[in-house]
Amino acid sequence: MIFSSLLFADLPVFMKQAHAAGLTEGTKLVFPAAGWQHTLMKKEFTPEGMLFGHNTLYFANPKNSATAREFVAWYGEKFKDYPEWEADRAYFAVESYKQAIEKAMKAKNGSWPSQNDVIEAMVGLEVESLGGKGGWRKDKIADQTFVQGFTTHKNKYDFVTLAEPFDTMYSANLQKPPGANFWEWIKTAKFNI
Amino acid sequence: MMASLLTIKHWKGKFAKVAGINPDYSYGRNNMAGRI
Repeated sequence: MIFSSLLFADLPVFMKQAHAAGLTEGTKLVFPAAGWQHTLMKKEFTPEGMLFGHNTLYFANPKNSATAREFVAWYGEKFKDYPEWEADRAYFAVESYKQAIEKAMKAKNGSWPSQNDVIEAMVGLEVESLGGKGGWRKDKIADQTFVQGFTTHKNKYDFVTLAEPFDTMYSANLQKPPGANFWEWIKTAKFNI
Repeated sequence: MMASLLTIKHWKGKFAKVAGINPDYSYGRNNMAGRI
């Protein structure tokens, strides 16, 4: 098994070379961040059955909201490409900020809020982002929805997509709680898989 | 974390060796230690 956090331009370069060297044959591949380069992960060198992470936005998710579908279509028309999770992170940040402003202004009877007012208004906020549900914990760490699954070549693109069914998990069920030490928490954490 | 969980879910008992490739990005450090 190969377990890798590769996500920059080195990822498709590695995959091409790994394929050419025969490394991908018979090897289980786990690439949690591969979705950042998803349209460069061409079928000719990216095998089926690879555990592939799309982080917080999978462009071809059949459960995508109307807003997400509209965005993917617009992105495709404008850039001749398909968006990955950075688009969701940008949307999530701006939408969170917008909603926090609105919440803080309401609390101040319409007056423009201070930076601290906005920060406090974000705590506990829940946002419907491009990739699904998201929110802000009391320690100001974000929670978001993550998508991972196994690759398939059975699609209309020249790159791999996810075979269905794939897995979706909310980060509240994945990351350590506020204030916890990761290495202590992981010793006894329970996960529902 | 999710990838680790799904690896166990789908491939528990089906692999003998794990090779980690984790470049020194700002993201990725300690990932292997956390996963293994």
